[in-house]
Order: sequence, then C-alpha cells, then structure tokens
Amino acid sequence: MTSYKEIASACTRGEVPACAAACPFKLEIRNIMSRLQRGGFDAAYRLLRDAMVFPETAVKLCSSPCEAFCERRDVDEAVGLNRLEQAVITHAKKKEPLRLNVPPKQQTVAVIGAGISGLACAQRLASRRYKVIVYEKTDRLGGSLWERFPNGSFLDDILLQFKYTDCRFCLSCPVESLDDISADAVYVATGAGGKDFRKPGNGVFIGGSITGADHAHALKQGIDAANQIESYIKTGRRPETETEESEKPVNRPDPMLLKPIGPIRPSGDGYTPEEAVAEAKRCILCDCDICLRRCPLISYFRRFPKQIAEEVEGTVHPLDVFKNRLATRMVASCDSCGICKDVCPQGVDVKSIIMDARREMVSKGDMPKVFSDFWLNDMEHAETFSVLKLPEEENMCRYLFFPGCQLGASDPRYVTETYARLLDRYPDTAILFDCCGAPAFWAGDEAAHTKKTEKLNEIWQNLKRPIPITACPTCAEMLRRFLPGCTPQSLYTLDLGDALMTGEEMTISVFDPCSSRFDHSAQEAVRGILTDAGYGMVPLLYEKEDTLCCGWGGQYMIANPTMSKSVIEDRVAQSEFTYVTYCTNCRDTFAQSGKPVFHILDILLGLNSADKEPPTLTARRENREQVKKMLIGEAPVADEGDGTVLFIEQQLAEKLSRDWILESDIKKVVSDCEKTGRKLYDIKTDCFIGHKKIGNLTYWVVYRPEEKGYRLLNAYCHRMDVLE
Amino acid sequence: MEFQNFIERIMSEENLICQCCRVPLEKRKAAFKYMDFDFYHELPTCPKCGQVYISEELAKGRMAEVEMNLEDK
Repeated sequence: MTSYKEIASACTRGEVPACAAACPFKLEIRNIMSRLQRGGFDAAYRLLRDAMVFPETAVKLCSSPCEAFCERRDVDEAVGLNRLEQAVITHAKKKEPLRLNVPPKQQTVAVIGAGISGLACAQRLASRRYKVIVYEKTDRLGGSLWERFPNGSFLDDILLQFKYTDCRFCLSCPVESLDDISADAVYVATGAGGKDFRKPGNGVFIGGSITGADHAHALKQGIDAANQIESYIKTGRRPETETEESEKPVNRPDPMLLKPIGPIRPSGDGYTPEEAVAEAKRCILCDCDICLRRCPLISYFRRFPKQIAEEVEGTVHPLDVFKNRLATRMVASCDSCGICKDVCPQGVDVKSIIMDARREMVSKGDMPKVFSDFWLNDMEHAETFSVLKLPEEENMCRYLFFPGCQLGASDPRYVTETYARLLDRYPDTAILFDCCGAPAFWAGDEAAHTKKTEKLNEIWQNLKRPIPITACPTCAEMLRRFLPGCTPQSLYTLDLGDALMTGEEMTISVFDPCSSRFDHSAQEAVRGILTDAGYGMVPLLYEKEDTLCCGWGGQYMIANPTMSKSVIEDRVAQSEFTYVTYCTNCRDTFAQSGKPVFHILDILLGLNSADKEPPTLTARRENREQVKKMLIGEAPVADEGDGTVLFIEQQLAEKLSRDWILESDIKKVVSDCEKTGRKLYDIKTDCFIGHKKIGNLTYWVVYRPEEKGYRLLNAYCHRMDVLE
Repeated sequence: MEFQNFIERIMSEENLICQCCRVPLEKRKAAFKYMDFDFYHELPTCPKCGQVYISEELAKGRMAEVEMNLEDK
C-alpha cells in the first residue's frame, strides 16, 4: 500500500510559484509582492538585495522570464514584475548595505575578473569577512557591463554594496597562472573568451560569461560560487553542484481567484509608489490552496495534504502508545466525496489517505465505535426490511430498480409510486429495496462491507445481471464500484412521464449530489425534467463537476457535528432559491436546516412541498417498514419490544432525532425499568428515571405512567460507561 | 428528628429515591470507563444497590466534553 506521506508528496503547497521557479535569482517573489502590496518598498529592496547582491544592476540586466509564467497572462496581462522591481529601486529609501557582525576569517579567496560574476562572488565573501582579492586585467571594475552600459551607470550600485567590506581590488593585474597567486580558493570569472587556466582543482571554481552565461546568469553564478567556496573552505570538499529541478511541479492557484484586473500603466517613466502598490495588488501571491477552499475537512482542520498525511501516519502508526491520536476525528470526518483529488492540479487524493486510515484504525479497534454504530445498525435495519420483488408474469427482468434504503426512509411513496411508473413503461423491471452497503464502506468496516457487497452481487447474478436503475447517486456509485461489470443507470434518465408538479415560472437551483459529480447524464436529465415542467433555473457556484457534499456523505455527523453543521450552512447559503436535488439525503439534510428543497421525485410524482420537514430517525425506520408492507402486502414485523406503549410529543421526538436517539431504544429502556423495577423516583416532579446500556450507549429516560402506557418526558444518552 | 433528617437528605440529594431499595440517593464516588480510560466522579448513588443518577446537564455537558477528549487520544 502506498504510504500516506507518498500520496501527499505531490502537493505543491508552500513550493515556489511558477514565476519564482523561472527567475534566475530564485527571488522570493511572493514575499516581495506581499510587502509591496503594503507599500513596503524598503523591505522589498532588502529582499532584492539579498538575492541579487547588486539589485539596481541586476534589475536592469534581467530579461524577466518570470512574467511569461505569471498566472495572469491568460486572464488579463502578466503582473509587471520587472517594472515593479525598478519601482522598488526608485522608491526605497533605506539602501544602506548590510553589515554582518561576524568575526574576520583567516582564509583568502582570489577572484580573477571584476565583471559582474566575479564582483558578486567577491562581495558575498567579503561581506562575510573572508580576505578577498579581486584581480582585474583592465583598469576598471565591471568587465563586459561597460558594453551594455557605456556610461558606467552600474558603478554606484557596485561601490555601494562594497561599502562595508575590506575587499582588495588589484586593477591592471592580469593573472597569467594560478601558481602566481596564493589563496585558499579561487573563482575564475574572466568573462567571455577569458582564460580558464586549465587547472580545475579542488579549490578552483569557474563561472560567469566564460561559461556562456548572460549577464543575469553570470551574476547568479557568482553568488552561487561564493556559497560553494565557503562550503569548500569549511569542509575541505567541493559541494555537489545543484541541478535544476525542471520537473518539479509548479505551484498553481485556484483559477477562480483570478478575476480580471486591468494592468496598471505607469504615468511617467516608471511607477509612482501608488501605481506600484496597485500593480502589486494584481498579484494573487500564488500558493495553491484550492483544496482548502473546496474540501470541508481540509478547511475545517486547516491542514494541507502533507500535514494531514503526517498526522494521519502518527495516528495510525503511533511511535509512542501514549501519544495522542491527534487525527482520529479528522480521519472520522471525511465525507468521502473526493473533491480534494478532483480539484487538485496534482491529483493529490486526500480522501484515499483518510479512508485507508479509517479502515486501518477500525480493523485495529482504534476508532471509537460510536462514530459509526448508528449507521451500521441502520444498514442492518434496511436489510431486515429489504424486499426483492420480481415483476408479475415476467420470467426475465431487464431492469432492477434499486431505490436505496434512504429513499424509502424519507418517503415510502418515493419508492412505491416510482416503481409503479416504471412498471407502466418497463414491465420487465424487478425491485430490490435494500441498502447498497455505503454505511459499512464509509465506516471503514471492511468485513461488513464485503459481506454486504457479496450478498448484493449474488442477488444480481441470480437475476441474470439486469441493469440496475438507481434513484440514489450513492447507490449508483457503490454498485458501479463494487459489483464487477455492473453499470447502473440513473432513474432520471429514463422516460417516467410528465412531471405532476409544474414550475409555474418558479425559479430554483439544482443541487447536484456529490456522488453524481461525474454522472453527466443524470445531471442533464434532471435539468431536462425541470425545464419541461416549466421551472426557471439559476446555477449554483458549485454545480455539476464542481459540486460539493451536502454534509451527509461519509456519515461523519456523529463524529463531527460541528463540522457537519457548518458545511450544511455553507451549502444552503449558496443560493436564495429553492433547491432541487436528486438525493434524499441532500433533501432531508437541507430541509432539516430550514432550506426549502424538493427531491426531483416530489416534482415528477407531485408529492411533497419544498417546505416539508424531514422525518425523524424513528419515522425513517417506520417509513422503511412501510415500504416493505406496501410492496409485498405483509404487515411489517417491527421490533416493538414487549408492547410497551410510549407517548412522545412531536417536539420531544424531534429532539431525540437530533440527538441520534431512536424511540425503539427508548421503549426498551422504559420496558426494562418497569420489568425489573430498577428505576429512580423523583419526588419533586413525580416521575421515574431509569437507564440502560444498549450497544455502546447508555440511554436515560424520564417518564410517567399514564392510563394506557407511559408518557416520555425526556431522554438522553452518553457514551461513557458507569460502573455500578 | 429522624423524619427531619430524611427530608433534608431528599432535598439535598436531588429528591431521588431508588425504587428498588426505597432509599434516597447520596453523593458517592462512581467509577467511569471510556476508550480504555478509567476515572471517578461523584454521583447521586443508592447507598444500598449502587444505582446511580446522571442528569442530562452532566451527560451533555462535562461528560460529552470528556468523551470528546478521550476520543481524540
């Protein structure tokens, strides 16, 4: 298995942006721009000087290859980086060179050639207080710079940078042989066509125009040579020459951040300070954070992929058993929608890190069971009330309607009325009302998931592999992924007749479920139904391939209710219009938060209004039981305990539902209290209080006997065990 | 006097009576266990059979907080 860190290694967060990668001086362009955006010309100057040694000269020498890589170039126009650098030179006030407070060094370095490369090397080493002697065959500094700037405009800049050094310049001192000079190291920068002394030795370094470099690169080579010489002096070994990392991925920003902002033209010869700041503000300081702004997990935990991988690794394979498993909640909080990978320019798959870790933690018993218990029980409930029904008088079925266990839980009619319509048009359609196994997959419970998948596969094979018709995009994804050779078809792409609820010029926004992100046919089919029914549509910012999870996917709401709540708030705030979706979980999640929302089947079959409240958890199970009854005509065998009758007001029922408490569990507690007599009596309120552990939770009930049963006054639960 | 004591005990111990033992609860140290961690906290407890009482406030407040901390360990 690929390690978590390997999966995240392609992430470019924090790496240099494309412009800086192309810069011969490897300027910290992001830093320089962020300072300029705040008017920090002096700070920007320091950064230029640190990287270029002779900033004024270097800026004039540079052909600005950076601008060709600016992300703006295809949107409006590249940020004028060279002009901005010139503005820094013009408007910076503090240009005094740096005085390094370091002790003088005993070693001597000879630099042969006082061109830009030799001078850069000499300045760097002299400022670090090495004894530097520059030998120049002519009587002036600058070498071939004079050819480019005959007026010697570069001299002030060069002399300024040498101001606090003790560098010795031997002008009109041609060096014939390296044997003539005594030094611990030599930098040969004799210029184009210059003497190379043919004596490569450990302490002899060569660079500048003699190597064919242009002025800008010659300068950079001088700076690099200074670093190599210092390393050689300290260690006695020549450092490895750094190779260009041309294959390194480039740090690219989210294209959505690149809004066109016309370039600022200088009013005179160069930018005024105000113009420079305005132009600098066009730079978006490229540092990829696209996953942070799309993926709710990355955004909630404020961690980028590499950090996530590191923390997950430490959590799944802790070196110290007493170390906190810091990433447990993070591992439990992924909605499994895959937007991380889909938006990442490098395709970094954070979901696979999280889901692999989840499976590993679950298999080792390191994941709190309560995070997924509810959903695994719900899957079991769906299995108990599953139905396989073959079409009457049909020996073979071409289609298998797979509505999904949550569709019927939301409203039994979504299943039964849809099936009736399907049978009208496609009489050779069977129905399998069951769970697709997503809860086990999301829980990271491989054993339960494999068992479920094998069972579904067996049914499907026995039916001679009919085409599954799915109403729920998650079911479609699960069947496609885990049933070999299975290609489900979205219900909405079939002709189901006219919609019974027409738009009457109502405007809506389609919310595409995350598992339908790449199901273009379903996306278009749903929009087609709405157009035909007369609805006006306003697209959401994140729709179709960019759509995001509603907050239900991955079933992390028990493990991380705060994150789930904030995700739902974000999703419903995308548009003021009523949503139409084609996943009941999206529908009920949004409806729970008060957002008007239709399921597409509400519109097709004329069922619920957009403000219909979602059923409670208990009602969801009852609905599922109802589906079975409606499909096969049998009375459901619900787990009613011993017939204890419990009266629960709607408000309390909703509270229980919000707290993930099922009324069936509460009934068991009351029944147990009454049977065993193990309960408390509260004198003040004249009611009984009892508790019982069911699964991994302890439930408390507050109730009072009534003539025909018991009135539930309150119920709550906790995860801790109390040892009585 | 005995009756007076009884009343005071009821008032101070959240008015709760164990239905099995017919005695009021008293604050006693109770043992908790979660995610392989053990700890103790005072709870209204039946002095005879040990039946405890946990209020909703405690369950959803301090206990939920500790549960979350332990899940992250």
